[in-house]
Amino acid sequence: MRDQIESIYQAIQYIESNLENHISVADVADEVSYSLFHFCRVFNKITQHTPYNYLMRRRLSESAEALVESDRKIIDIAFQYQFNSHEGFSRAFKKMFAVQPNQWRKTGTIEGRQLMPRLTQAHLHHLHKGSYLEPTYREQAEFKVSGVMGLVKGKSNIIQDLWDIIVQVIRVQPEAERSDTFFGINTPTGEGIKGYFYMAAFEQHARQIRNLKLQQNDPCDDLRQIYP
Amino acid sequence: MKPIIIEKSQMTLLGFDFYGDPFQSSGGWSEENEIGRVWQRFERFLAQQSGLYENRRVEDVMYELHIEHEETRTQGVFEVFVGFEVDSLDQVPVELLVKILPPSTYAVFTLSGEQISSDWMMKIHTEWLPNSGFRIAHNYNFQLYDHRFKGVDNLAESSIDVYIPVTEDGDPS
Repeated sequence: MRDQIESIYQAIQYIESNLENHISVADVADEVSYSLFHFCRVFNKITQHTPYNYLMRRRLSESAEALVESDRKIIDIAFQYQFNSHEGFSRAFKKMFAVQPNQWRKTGTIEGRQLMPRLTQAHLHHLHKGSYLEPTYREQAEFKVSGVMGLVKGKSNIIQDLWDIIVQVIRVQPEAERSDTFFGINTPTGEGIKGYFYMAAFEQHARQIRNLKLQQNDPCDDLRQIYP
Repeated sequence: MKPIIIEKSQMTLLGFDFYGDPFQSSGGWSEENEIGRVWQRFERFLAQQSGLYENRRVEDVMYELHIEHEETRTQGVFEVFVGFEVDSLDQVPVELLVKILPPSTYAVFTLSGEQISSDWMMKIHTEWLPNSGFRIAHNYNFQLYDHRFKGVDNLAESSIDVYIPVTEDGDPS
């Protein structure tokens, strides 16, 4: 999947640098070393557009901006973006924007949401963020945390409650020693117990352990009352 | 990838067809595309026929034919035909289209599992064709589906054959 996203992004870059040149979908497929049919399938899977559709919508969007940002003749802008005639351009323009090019020019403003922006790599990854997750691996030395733990079952809000307590604990820490690294730690329960244990915790530095004092209205007392 | 080379005489196919951009309305979240829809339309039609069409040559063999047209390379539009082979054109239901494939030599590649969803056409063109002594003969190719195909959800256990029409390089025709 990641390889496909990279290839399609490369295809998009090629399209973008040729909005004003004559290119075919086959040219784009060749550029990324895909056979034409396979390219069309993968491009649509990754971008939810067909290659030709993307090319045309981008050309029309760029020409829409050109219409508003300059006084150039419509026919010149049409030729610039590889349309063969005023009629052909107007027809395609009206189909996409629901107005004729000269009417669009008269209004003088571009409605951002009507234009098709260039697809970015971030956009492609966002469309497929559920499809792959590659972790990195890190060795972690032993470290100490302090926190509050609860049992998470079903739709309980306990995680939010646990963090609310931690926030209050942090607030009463002397500023110089205030923790700035926090962990949400999942631990499985034993057999027969539904759910899992969740600990909202902060990193405990050695100095802090020595200086930790339980204060009046220790938020942990509240916790013990809620979750005996 | 190594093909077997076979000669086939003219083939007559009956089926349904699509011309256009096969992926234009994929919908984003499903595998539905125009090619899937042609297959479904055709299979529903066959299911409604009382008895199998008599002149059908081999019972469980189906073909998916891709044909290039003038707009194929510029716009990514294809003609896709799905159907079966027949021996004669007697009593053809009016709903069915007829495709006649010319006699040709074919390079036949068997694809299995992941190969089926890979870019096999690219591999054929870059790894086999250049040193094969053959060149592409016609602007179409087809895939043969039989009992070895276990469905789109079970490609891992499936095989299909891809037929590429070829002619010997240096052949004046």
